[in-house]
Amino acid sequence: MTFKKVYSLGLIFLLGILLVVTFMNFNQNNFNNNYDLSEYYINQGVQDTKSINLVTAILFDYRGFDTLGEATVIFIAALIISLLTKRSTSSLVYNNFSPLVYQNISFIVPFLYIFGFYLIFYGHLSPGGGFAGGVVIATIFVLLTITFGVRRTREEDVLRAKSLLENLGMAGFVIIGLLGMVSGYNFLANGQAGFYLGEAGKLISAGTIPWLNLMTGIKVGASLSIIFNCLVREVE
Amino acid sequence: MLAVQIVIAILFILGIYTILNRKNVIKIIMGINIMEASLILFLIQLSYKDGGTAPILDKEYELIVDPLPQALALTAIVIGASTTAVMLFLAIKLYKEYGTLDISEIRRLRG
Amino acid sequence: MNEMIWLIIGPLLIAFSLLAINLYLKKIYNWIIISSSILTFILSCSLFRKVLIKPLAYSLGSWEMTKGINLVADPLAGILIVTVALLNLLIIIYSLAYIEKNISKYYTLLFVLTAALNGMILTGDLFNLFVCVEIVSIVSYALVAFRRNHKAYEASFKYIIIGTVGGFFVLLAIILTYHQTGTLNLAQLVVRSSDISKVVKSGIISLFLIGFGSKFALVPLHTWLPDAHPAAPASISALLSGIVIKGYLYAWLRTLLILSNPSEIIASNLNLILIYSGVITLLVGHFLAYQQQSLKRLLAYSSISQIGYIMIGIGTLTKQGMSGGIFHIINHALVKSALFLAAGIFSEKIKAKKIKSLVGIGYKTPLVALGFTIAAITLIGLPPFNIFISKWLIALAAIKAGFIIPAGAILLGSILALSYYLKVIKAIYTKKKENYKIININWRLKIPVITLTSLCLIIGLAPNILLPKLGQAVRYLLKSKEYYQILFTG
Repeated sequence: MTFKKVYSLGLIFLLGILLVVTFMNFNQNNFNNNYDLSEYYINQGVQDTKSINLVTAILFDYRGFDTLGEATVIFIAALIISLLTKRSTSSLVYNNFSPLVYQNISFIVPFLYIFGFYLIFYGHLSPGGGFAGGVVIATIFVLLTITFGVRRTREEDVLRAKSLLENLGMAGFVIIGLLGMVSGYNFLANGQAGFYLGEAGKLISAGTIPWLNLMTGIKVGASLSIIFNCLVREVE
Repeated sequence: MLAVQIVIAILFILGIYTILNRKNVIKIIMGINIMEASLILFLIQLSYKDGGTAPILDKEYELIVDPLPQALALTAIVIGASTTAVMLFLAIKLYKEYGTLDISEIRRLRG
Repeated sequence: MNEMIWLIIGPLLIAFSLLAINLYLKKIYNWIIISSSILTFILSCSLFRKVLIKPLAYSLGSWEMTKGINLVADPLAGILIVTVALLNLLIIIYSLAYIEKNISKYYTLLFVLTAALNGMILTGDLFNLFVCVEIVSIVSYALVAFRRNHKAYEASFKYIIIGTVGGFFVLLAIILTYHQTGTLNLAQLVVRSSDISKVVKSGIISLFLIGFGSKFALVPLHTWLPDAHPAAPASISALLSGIVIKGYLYAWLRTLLILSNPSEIIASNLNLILIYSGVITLLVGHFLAYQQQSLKRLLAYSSISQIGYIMIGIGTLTKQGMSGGIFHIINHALVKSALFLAAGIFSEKIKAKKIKSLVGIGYKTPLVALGFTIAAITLIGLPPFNIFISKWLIALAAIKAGFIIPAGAILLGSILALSYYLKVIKAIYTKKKENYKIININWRLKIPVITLTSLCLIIGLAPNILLPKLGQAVRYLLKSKEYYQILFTG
C-alpha cells in the first residue's frame, strides 16, 4: 500500500459516506407532491405544442435552448477531432469482402435513408427525433466506408461538404429560432408566435418542432460521420 | 427506491475508483463512462412511476412517467458521448506520441 | 432590441458561418471577425447600462417564467459580460497577428467560447447552466490541444479527465436538486430550497463545490491547470486564466447563494471551509509559483493563488468582502490577460520561454516589457494599481469578520508574489550587452497589452467608477429574495 493508494481509497471512502448520507436523508414527502412542473408538462404539453411525444416537446420547445447547446457540444467535438487529425496521405484503402456483402450493403442503404428520415420527421409523434435519426444517417456513411473503403483523392472535398452541411444545420437551428423573434416574440418561440400548430397526432403539426428536428438530424448525421472519417484516417 | 439509489451510489464511486486507480488510459475513460451511466440511471429512476407508460400520448393512458428527466437524460447522454469521443481521440494521439497507454509513463509534464 | 439573447446567438451565428465565409468571402474575413466582436462589446456595454437601472429577464420561447428557460441579467452579470466582451475583442485583435494555422477553426472556437460564457453568466436555469458549463469546458479542451504537439495532447487529456469528472459532480448535484424541489428554475429554487432537508442541502452544496472546484482549480483539484494553461497558445492562456475559470467561479457562487443564504451558511460553518480552502489555495499557488523556471507556468500557478484571494473574499459573506472578491475577479482578468499576452510576445518573437532567457528583453521590446512590468507590479498588489484596492478590501473584510489568519495569509502571499515577480522583472531589465537592437513587433500584438495595463492604472487611480456598481451587484447575490423578484414581480 503506497501513500497514493491510501489517499485515493480515503477519498473514495469519504465520497461514499457523503453520497450514502445524502441519499438516506431524502425528504420523501416532497417526492410525490412537489412535481407541479412535470404535472404541467403532462397535462398541458400536448395542448401547448401539439406534439404528442412529450420528450420531444420538452427538448425542442420548452427547453429548446438546451438542445441548441447540446448540438453545439457535438459540433465542437467534431471540430476538435477534425482539427487534430493529420492531413495528407494519399493511399487507397480497400477491403476485400465477398460480393454478397457489397450487394447487401447497396441494397440496405436506401432503406436506411428512409428509416433515418422517418425517425426525424416523426420525432414529434413517436420515439425518435433529430438525434436518433441523425445517428442512423451517420451509420450509412460508416457502413459505406467500411465496405467500399476510402478514396483519398475525393475525401477532402467530401469532408468539406460535410462540414458545410454541419454548419448549415447549426445555423438553421438558430435561424428557425430567430423566426420567433421576427414575428415579435422571443427566441425559439413556437406556438405563441402563431406558427401553424395543426392537430395533435398529424404529420404536419407542432409548428417549428419538425423543422428543428430536421436541422438537428442533418447536423448530427454530418458531425458523427466527420468524427468517424477522422478516426479512420487517424488509426491507419 | 432506496435500493436503486444505493446502486447509483455504488456505480458512481466505482467509476471514481477506476479513474483514480487504473493505469490504462482506456480504462480511465471507461471509469468516466460508468459514472455517466450511474447519473443517467438516476435520471431514469427519478422519472419512474409504478405502472406508468412512456410519455407519448397517442392512445389510452392512465399514468405517464415524468418526461422532464428523460429530456435531461437525452441531453446528458449527448454531452457525455461527445466528450467520450474527444477523450478517445486524445487517447489515440497519446498512443501515437508515446507508444504506450500507461498513464504513469505518459506523465512527462511536471506538477 | 434585446441585448441578452443577441449576446448569445450573435457569436454563435458568426461561429457557424465562419467556414462558409472562409471559403467564399475570404477578403472580408478579418473585417467580419473584428466588427462582430466590436458589436458584441457595444451590445454588452448597452446591456450593462440597462441592468444598472433595472435587472432584466428574458423568457426563451415566450413561455411563462416557470415553464421554460429564462435569461436573467442583474448588475453582476452585466459587469462580467462587459469583461468577457472586452477581453474577447482584445484577444481577437491579438490573434490576428498571432495565430497562423487553422485560422477558421480557431475563431469558430473563440466565438463559441464567448457565446457559451455569456450563456453561463446570463442563464436562469440550473440545467442550462450545466449545458453552458460543458460547452465552455469542451471548447477549453480543444483550445488547450490547439498546438498539436505531445505536450498539448497530454495537458488536454489531463484537463478533460478532471473536467469531465467535475462536470458529472455538478450534474449529480443538479439531479439531486431537481429530485428534492421539482424545479430547475433558479428563481423558483430560491423559495423552494427551504424544502430541502439540512443534511441533503449540505450534501448538494459540497457536490457543487467539488464539481465546480475542479473546474476553477481549487487546491486539491488544481493539478490540470499548470499544464493546461501554458500548453495553449498565449492568447488562449489569457482567456482561460482571465475569464474562463472566473466564469466557473461565478456559476458556483450563484448556485451556492441561491441554494442557501448567508446566515444559513454561517450557521452550518460552511464559510470556514470556503475561507480556509481559499487560504490553502493561495499559499500553495504562491509557493509553487515561486519554484517555477518557465514564465508561463509561473503565471499559471499565480492564477491558482488568485483564486484563493477571491475565495477568501467570498467566504466572508459580507457586502465588503463579496464586492472585494468580485472586484478582484475583474482586476485579475485584466492583469493576467496582459501578462499572458506579453509572455506570448516574448516566447513567440524572442523565443524566450524560461525566466533565465528573458535577460535583456526590456531593451529589445521596451514597450511590451514595460507593460509586463506594470502588470506584474499590479498583480503583486502595490498601490496605485487596482489589485491593491481589491486585496485591501478583501483583507479588511476578513479582519472585520474576525478571520485574522486569512488576512495574514493575504499579506504573506503578497510578499511571496513580490519575491518571484521581482525575479522576473530583474531578469527583464538586466543588461548583458551594450547595444540591443529593438525588435519590430506588430501593432496588433502591442495594442491589447497596452490597453489592458492602462486600464489597470485607470481603475487603480479612480476605483470609484466601479466600486458603487459592485455594491449594487452584490446585493442580488446576498439577498437571493431580490433575485426571485426579478423574475416574478418585475
